[in-house]
Amino acid sequence: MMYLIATLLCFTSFMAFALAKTPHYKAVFGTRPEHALSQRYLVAAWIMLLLTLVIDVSQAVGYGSLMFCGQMALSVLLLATLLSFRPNWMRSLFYLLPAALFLITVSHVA
Amino acid sequence: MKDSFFRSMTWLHTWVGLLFCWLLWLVFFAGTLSFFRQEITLWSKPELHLHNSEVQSSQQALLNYGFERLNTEAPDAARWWISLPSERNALLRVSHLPYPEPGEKASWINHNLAADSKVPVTPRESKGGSFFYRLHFDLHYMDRTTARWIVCLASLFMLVALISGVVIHKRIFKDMFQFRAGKGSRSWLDGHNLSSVLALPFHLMITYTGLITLIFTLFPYPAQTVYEGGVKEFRKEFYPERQRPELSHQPLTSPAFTQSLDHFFTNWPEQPISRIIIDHPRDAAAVMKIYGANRSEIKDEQAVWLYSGKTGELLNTAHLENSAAAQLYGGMIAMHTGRLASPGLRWLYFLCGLAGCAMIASGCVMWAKRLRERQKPTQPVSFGLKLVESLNLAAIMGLPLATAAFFYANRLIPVTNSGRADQEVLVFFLTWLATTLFAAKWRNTQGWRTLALVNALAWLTLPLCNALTTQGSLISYVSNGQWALAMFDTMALLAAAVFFWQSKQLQSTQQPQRVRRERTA
Repeated sequence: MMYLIATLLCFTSFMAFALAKTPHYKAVFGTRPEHALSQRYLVAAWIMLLLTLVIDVSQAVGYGSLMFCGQMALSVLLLATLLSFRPNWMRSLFYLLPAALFLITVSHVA
Repeated sequence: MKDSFFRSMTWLHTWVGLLFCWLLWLVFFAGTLSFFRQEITLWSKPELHLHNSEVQSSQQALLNYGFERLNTEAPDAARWWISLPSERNALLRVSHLPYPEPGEKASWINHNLAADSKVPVTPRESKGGSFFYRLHFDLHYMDRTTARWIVCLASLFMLVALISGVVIHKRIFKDMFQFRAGKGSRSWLDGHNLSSVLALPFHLMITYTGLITLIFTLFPYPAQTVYEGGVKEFRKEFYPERQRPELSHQPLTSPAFTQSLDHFFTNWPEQPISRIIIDHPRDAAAVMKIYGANRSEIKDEQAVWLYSGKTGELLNTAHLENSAAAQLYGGMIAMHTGRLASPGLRWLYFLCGLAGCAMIASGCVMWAKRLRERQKPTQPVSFGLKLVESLNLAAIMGLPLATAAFFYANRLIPVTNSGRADQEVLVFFLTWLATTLFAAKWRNTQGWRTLALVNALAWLTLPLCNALTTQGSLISYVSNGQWALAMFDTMALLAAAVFFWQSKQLQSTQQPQRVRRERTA
């Protein structure tokens, strides 16, 4: 369960990395992002990525780091596919993903 | 020497990559399949499909049964071997090795039993997933040591290519998510970059740890210096469980195996057992070796407990508490083989392995495409370019086709044929040879397209062939919850879809577009 949360978090983090880049942001939202916004995405992405690593490693040091590598690969592959072929789907994901992440985390803690 | 660091790295990446790309493609492809070694083996032995994989009996009960059976069946054997069922293998295996007749070599007599009902199961003779596992580092039709040296050299060059690749494709992290489809060689470069960067930690890890698995072949000098008998002596100390006791020629009438087992279960109640081996079970020198299952710990060697058969006392243990060096070595091998992985991580390993295949394949293709683009249409095509193009086609499209042929052979060669396991392998290599001959003649887009269609057809009908020749099918696998088998069929269908898409892409433009070769388990 924690690994599922970490996977979703990793994906969200890489989504933020992608949206911090002007061409991808434009492909998704249609407008150019302000510089400050890109910076904020970048910071959020790094925080989430580190948090993913922390969650994975807190489960098991070695196994967790292997999971972390795999999660990153999966996230980048999915994002690259989405951005190349269906960038507008990212708009829904942009809201759905954090919501799903929040719900799963809350239900797991509760 | 080239005039700048960047250019020399480009030169290095291009030529090192080209020199070994086909071999690396084979190694990566077979290695990726090997993550599912057990599942492929299960698929290739349909006789095992009928048995429920959830074992109810306790390990102790299964062991007692095994001992009883061996006691009546082969009390005077040289060795006994009881393998317990695990998550990935549902069978209980009870085997013994008779003492050899003078001048002959004894061979194991195996009994595979359904764990709960103890019904004997005779699976067909097939190498299954182990074929790909061996192919991955022993290659085939050649001496093992030579093959391992070649594979070592190839991995060393892979490491060089990876590092120089990061240097020359500086923008890979900047354009991490970029894939521009339908732009000729630009798309190929994007695909090459994407597949390498998305699994870069994996690629580095797998290549480096791959070298480590063969480190005592590559670099035996420390062991040779420290131990008088060299690597052999070192192994003797590192693996005490691999030593066989000398016969004492004093008969052992009442062995203490049960007491030893009780001792083990009392002191290590949480430790699951993977197998038990007993050397000379009817001799006073008898030794019982209990191998613990590793679960998901990052270690390679299984912990072993050695008990005396005569007195029942614990003689020695191995790999129970490892030194830091042993832990590092074992950890790296465990990371490489991925045996520790639960299904989730195993799929991630598989995905990363596919990314590696895509990286190598796109690299090979790009080399040839770049050279073609630079040539004037009137210029005669050099032999080197022809060779590279043919080898690309033969390797990249031939290997998946040969794999499909291997699986067909598994289902279609009669079960009663003696030596059918080797016949399956022969079919694999003959198919590959045929593809190579085809590629030597037609190495243009039309050739690629034909082979893509043949591949698509082969993988599409594989689940059908399976359904016709066995009692199960994709539908029954899903309804019975046999997920390993269901995924095998699904992956075959997925591969067919990818190859079909590839043939469409090749048809829509005369120039081969980005052609991804996804692989199946």
